[in-house]
Amino acid sequence: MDNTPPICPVHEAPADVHRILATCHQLSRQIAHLRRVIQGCWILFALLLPGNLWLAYRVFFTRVTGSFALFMAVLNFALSLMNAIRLVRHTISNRIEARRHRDSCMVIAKLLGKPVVHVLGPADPEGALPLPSYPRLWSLLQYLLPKTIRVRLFTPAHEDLKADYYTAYRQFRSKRARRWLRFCFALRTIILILGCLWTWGLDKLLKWLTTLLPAPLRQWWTIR
Amino acid sequence: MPVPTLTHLQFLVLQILGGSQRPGRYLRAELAKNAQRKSLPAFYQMMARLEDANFVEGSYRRIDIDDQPVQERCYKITAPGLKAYHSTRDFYFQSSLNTAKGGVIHG
Repeated sequence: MDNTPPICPVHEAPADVHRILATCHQLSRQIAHLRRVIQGCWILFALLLPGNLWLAYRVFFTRVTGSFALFMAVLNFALSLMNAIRLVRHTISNRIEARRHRDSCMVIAKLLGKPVVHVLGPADPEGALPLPSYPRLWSLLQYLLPKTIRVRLFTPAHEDLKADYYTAYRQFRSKRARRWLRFCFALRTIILILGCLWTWGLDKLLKWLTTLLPAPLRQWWTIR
Repeated sequence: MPVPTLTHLQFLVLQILGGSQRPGRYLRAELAKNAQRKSLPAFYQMMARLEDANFVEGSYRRIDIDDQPVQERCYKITAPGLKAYHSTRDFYFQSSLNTAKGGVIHG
């Protein structure tokens, strides 16, 4: 279990604080997105270049993109800090979703050196953060299987895996731990699919082999 | 007395089920306690066979884990299942009695 302080809903902030925070948060997310796009474009561009030119462009552009990324990081941090200061200065009187202001809550906790739960009061069970839903891609993998196996084997096993996933996800809150969990469960889903195929294949093989057996032995086997 | 139609594993599953509806996860955990570890697909294959033989009845039950819905597969013993369980239990009981008496032939 990691020691990251738990995030709880921010209680009762005035409507204007809510609006300001939402705008700041949206802006910081847009900047972060833009930064990712620029970095992605740069990598793509560098990869597309022929070998000799690549080094020259890399040397030239690294400084530009590096400086830009640093500027964006500083701006992003400043925005988060601004959110935090605004949040601390205002009387909190309306409920805000903590998920939307996760960064601000974390900054407050770091500034005051206290867990978020102490800063904002105890979490309301009704307002607890919902878990992210099970990744759709893993659920879509089931369509690799024939319908019979999917219904008989995969679906109930997959639901058990999902329950396990949510239980584990609830315990660990840091980004690294959650990334690791996602990787583990993706792997387990793939193993589950392979296991389903193996079980189904073995079953088919045994059924075929029983047709080769003499009748009394076949009857004895098939009831098992 | 006829030879039982249930394998030892199926007998154990029906015994764990008892008279109540139990989720697949619970059954699997109980089987593991009895040193019968099975992978998820193998376990549900076994349960599907029991369902095909009409010994158990399976249904999905919705549970929420922190507001995330999960459809849990639950199983309940049926009347034929109960009958098969009793006949298997009687068979083993009778066999153990005969063994205690020194066997059927020499008893």
